[in-house]
Amino acid sequence: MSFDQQKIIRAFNDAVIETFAEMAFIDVVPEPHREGKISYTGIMGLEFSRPGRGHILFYMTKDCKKELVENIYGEEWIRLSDMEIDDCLLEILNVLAGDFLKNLFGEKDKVVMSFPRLYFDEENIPGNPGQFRFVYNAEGALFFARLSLEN
Amino acid sequence: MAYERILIVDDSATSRMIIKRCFHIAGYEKSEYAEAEDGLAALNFLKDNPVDLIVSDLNMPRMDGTTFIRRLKMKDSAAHIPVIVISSMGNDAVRDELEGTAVLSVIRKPLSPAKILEALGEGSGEGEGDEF
Repeated sequence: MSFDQQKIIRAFNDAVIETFAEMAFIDVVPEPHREGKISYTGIMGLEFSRPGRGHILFYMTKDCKKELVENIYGEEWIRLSDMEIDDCLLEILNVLAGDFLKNLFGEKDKVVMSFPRLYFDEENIPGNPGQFRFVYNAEGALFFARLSLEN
Repeated sequence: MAYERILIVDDSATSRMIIKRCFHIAGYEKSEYAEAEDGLAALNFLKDNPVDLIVSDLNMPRMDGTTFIRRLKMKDSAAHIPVIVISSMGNDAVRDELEGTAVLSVIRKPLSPAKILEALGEGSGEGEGDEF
């Protein structure tokens, strides 16, 4: 099955916007024309093999992660353990990936996804970072994502 | 229906916390909650601890949700326990796969109290849990 680029971009943007809004009450706006370097600390990644094959990578600053985790837990970042913080961020990615695959492929096909995981830098990521790059503004905090999709 | 003892099966502590919070908001704040990180831990817990409702994820290490539910339904002592599946992978294919296991409903994450009420047949029709 092959998709045009606009459908892939729309499916991904919708998944990001919806997941951030429903899980963390954060408004996210895509900024497709933003250029330049965006800083990040650590990378979150997840692979999927059905209905399509590819992976999703998220690159976020600590401020962006902090806002997400504090909103979901209703607790200050400083009061949460590293394990709780990582688990929270990876759960967001897990939900977001499921939503993206549903948006793109529909509800009929079985979905197979890996467990989401953290990477310390791009050197540890298997394969290429991905042919799609998305930039988002989450209420003032910038972050970006990469998507690899084999058609 | 009153569900006094609810078992939440999910490998993500965050997800378990969100599920519990949504049940509280949906009116189940007085229920007693137990948690298990995967299907195997849940089966072990159920040997000695009766529950009224199981809420299970699908994608879990050691024993996934589908295997857990099939094993559960083979046990005479547990086959009657209603199960709600809450997963980021919940779709028609999952519903087909779980057909015949007496799963009450499959809910797609992200979760909301409205989706829980809908799954339990107590909603206003605005949730997205699909009953079998």
